[in-house]
Amino acid sequence: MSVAVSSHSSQLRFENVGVVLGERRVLDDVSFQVSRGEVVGLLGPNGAGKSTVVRAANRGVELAEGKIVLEEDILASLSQRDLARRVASVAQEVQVPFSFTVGEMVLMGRAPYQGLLGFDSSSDVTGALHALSKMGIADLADRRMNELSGGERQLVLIARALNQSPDWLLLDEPTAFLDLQHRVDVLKVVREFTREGGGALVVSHDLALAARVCDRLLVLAEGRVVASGPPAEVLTSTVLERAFGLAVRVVEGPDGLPLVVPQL
Amino acid sequence: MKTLTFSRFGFTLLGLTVLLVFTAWTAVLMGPSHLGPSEVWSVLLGDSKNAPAIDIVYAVRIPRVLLAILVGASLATSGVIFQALLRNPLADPYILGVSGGAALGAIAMLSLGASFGFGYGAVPPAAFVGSLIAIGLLYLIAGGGSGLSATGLLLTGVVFNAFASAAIVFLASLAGMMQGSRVFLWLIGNLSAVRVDVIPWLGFFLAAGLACSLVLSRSLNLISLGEEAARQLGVNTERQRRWLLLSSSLMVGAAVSAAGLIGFVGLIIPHLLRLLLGPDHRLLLPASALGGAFFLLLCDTVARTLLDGRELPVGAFTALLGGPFFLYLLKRSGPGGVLGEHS
Repeated sequence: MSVAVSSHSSQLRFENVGVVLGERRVLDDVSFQVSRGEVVGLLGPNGAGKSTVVRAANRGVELAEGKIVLEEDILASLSQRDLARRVASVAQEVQVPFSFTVGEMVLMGRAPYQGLLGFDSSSDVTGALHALSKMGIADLADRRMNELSGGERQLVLIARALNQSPDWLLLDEPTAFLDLQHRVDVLKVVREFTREGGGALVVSHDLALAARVCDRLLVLAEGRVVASGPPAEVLTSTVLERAFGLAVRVVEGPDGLPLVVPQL
Repeated sequence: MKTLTFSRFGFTLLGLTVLLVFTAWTAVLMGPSHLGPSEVWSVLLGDSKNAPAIDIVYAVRIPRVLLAILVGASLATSGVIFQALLRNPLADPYILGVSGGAALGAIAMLSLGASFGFGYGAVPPAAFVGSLIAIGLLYLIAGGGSGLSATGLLLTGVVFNAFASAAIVFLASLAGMMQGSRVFLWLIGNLSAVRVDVIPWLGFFLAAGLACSLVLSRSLNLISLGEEAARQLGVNTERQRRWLLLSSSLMVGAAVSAAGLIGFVGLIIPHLLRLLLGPDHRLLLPASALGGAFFLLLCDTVARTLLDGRELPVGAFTALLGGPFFLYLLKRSGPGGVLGEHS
């Protein structure tokens, strides 16, 4: 895996972003960029501001300072619909109060391309089926969302995000409820997405997998970026102890990549 | 993969329309004065020379049937909208106190408006303003946005309803409207005091509200997933939410100003149709309009023909059905169900 070198015009870029929610400063002077073709992992302890980064890239929170630039555009100047065609994101957990089917849910990913009225076109349906089979859950298409397990629901939401045919994918702990097999499957899909020219930002608590899938890692603690770079540079005991406040040992795994072992 | 197709949409709505037309036809035939189908048919075709029959059909029965259809459709449609906006299947204009707000607005206009030179035409707009204020309060108190907890919502509704009823009785007493049982009948909800001139008003408000919400029915699917999800999928939630609240207030205001407080139509019908048809609002919304019209027409026809020579208020009827139904929904959902906190 190589670090993609690319011009500013093919980046999603945070420039000195600050976010204040209520009294609390959640993000402070956060700058980083994700380029097309690369997977960037976002690590950090609970409450570090990782989800806020994802929400800010959706315009889900107001920026107190700085700006977010999406390729040639300032994110704040795009319409919500335009943004949804270019950036798709999967939130940590979604409550579905009504019993939509998996198929209906994934079809909603086409919303930014559809008019207000009308039915789903056959290409919308084909796209949805394609996204479902990519996630390996085509057989769930007619099941109801509230009959699924937490892990299956996550796969559906990722399928919906893919069905948005975005250029950028933001995943907030996409593998939290998944078993090892599905974690690997999801991350393979993300890799494929970036190989085809997209850029991905993945929030994760799984340091071992992050080291193996991401081109670069970004560590956030108390709303600030404390480290960024290739996995081998970022996953060091100094950085992790500072970010997580926990003594860890970093050893070399059988594949030559770092493995983090907490010292209990 | 099952999706909403034109034929499923068309056949479902056609079926419901046929059911509604059949019920309306039956309702026109029923009443204290006996009129046979052939007699009513000839009146409708304009062939009848029977003046009393013409009068009964055109001045009494058809307005009553239209009123039930319009009020039922308005209540059920706004029920669907509230449920999607608040992401809670227990939301209903009556339970949330929005009907109470509309009733208070209407009574305030009825009791005080005359002294300011307002006529009856000002009552539906006053009810509309009342329902808007109730919705505003609901949002203000119960948290606003997607942070509305079910418990907070229901409690706010209960308290606001109690307050509105008290204020209504107070205003009505001041204006000397307590004679007889007019205000009482209105608080219970009934269609017997039908004024024919209300019907065009009601039709206009319903048409506007229904058209607006139908245009936004696909967005309503996304909004029902939550603020965050809707925004991620490109919906301008703030603007669309405002339009949807406006159109449901229009419909509730119109329905309440005509018929008083009829409860639970907006709860029962959307719930049953969601079970039958699924939650896709593109179908659920128009189906609920037709279903609500059918349901209230059925209830009203039974209420006015069950006892010889006496009418029961239809609101008492729907509440008798709706109260237990509400409790059943609550019980069935259990912890983490409809009372679960949606974040």
